[in-house]
Amino acid sequence: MTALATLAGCAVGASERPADGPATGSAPEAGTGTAAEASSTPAPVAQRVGAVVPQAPVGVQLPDGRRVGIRSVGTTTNGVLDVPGDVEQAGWWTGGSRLGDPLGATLVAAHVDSTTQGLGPFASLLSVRRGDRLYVWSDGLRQTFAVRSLWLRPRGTLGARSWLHSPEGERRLVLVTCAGPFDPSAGGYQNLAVVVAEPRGKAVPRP
Amino acid sequence: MRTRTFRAATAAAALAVAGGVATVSFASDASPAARPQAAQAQAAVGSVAIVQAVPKATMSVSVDGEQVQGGVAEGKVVGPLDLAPGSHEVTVSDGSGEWTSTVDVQAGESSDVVVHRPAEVGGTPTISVFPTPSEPIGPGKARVVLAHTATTAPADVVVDGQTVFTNIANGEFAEADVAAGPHEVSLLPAGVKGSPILGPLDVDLAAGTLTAVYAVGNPQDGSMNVIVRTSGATASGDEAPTEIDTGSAGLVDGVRVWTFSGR
Repeated sequence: MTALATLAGCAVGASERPADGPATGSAPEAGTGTAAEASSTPAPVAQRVGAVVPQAPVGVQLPDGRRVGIRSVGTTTNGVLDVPGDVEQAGWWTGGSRLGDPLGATLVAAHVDSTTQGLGPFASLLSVRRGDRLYVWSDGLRQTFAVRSLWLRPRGTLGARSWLHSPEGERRLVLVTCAGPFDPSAGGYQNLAVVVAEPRGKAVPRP
Repeated sequence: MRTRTFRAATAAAALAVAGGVATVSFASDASPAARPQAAQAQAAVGSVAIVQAVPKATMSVSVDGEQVQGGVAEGKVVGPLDLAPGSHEVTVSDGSGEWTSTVDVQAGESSDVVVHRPAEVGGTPTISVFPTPSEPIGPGKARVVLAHTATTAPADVVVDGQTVFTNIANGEFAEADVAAGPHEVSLLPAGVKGSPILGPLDVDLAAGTLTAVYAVGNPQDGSMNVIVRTSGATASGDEAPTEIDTGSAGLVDGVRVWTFSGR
């Protein structure tokens, strides 16, 4: 019994010692702390962690399975979002949130149709249902979204902090295309169809 | 060497103390005189600010053997200094101990060299380099860098009620672009919901700025604090669209759209 107890005591002592060990044992760091000892130590460069590095989205898979390429677009001098003329291409407003950003809107818009190409893939947005899945990817990331709402708004002026593209608020994917009525004498389509989708999980590295 | 307080280590369940309001010390960037000089020689030099994040210590700071500033209290920032590209020795001393690290400076880039405590209670001061993320920032946005330089385990960061960063350990940082304006930020023990280690703090971020937040101190003895440093950043210059025009052929003119909303 006594021997056992002693052994146990030793064992505890031994297992505790390593905890102290590094502090007293690592002479170059803690022991001396002199300039001479430490001068060769390069300061560690802090690592960026906690979240993925956000990236520009480059593609989206719509609920009907169609995949649409996304280009980075800006705003023209008239204040119009510079959506690609090709109905098969969508435009992401580069001032908005990227894939992997923790908050705010990622605005992606595409033409619903064109006189030369007919209907574009974004026309299918006019019939999405709640919960439909959307998949967005960038060069190195992908993220799943689920449709939360579909609404129409007049194709009028957007505010500077419009919910459609504002970096404020909860993370969301905002897909926009045009919707009827179509009035050629009043500039064409009168409405925008807006699909808002919320993330299902975080943006993760692509396999 | 310096005397260390081990008392806090035994106060295992003292996390509840941490909910209190932390003091926020603001360190504004650069003396006005230093700026034009930095702009002129932007390509030829690197910009380095030295942040004194060791609680309750007063340090003298030297670069390459020459004292730059003495009597640097907790939360104070030396510089930014324009340094030639290459290796430089940064030495800090609190009178009882002296610590030196080499810092690699790149032309045209800026970084914060931060003297801080490691995660362990009573650990000796450590020098870490936090590079300044320099990508352009979108209009109406501000960049936040949250750095863990405190005597505590890995943490999660909650912004406006949402966990936006997870598992950041001492000597690491997280970074995000968020909307300019007021935000509420807290630091929680990683993976745990409940009492914050720090905060909630109200921060107001101006558009086009970079705000570095250094968490310092020890939540177990109520000494948590933040050092906040704000500097300008490159704006992307892209205005928000006021109009979206996405169709021209009238092919969906008669399509009935069944709208829905909500969660």
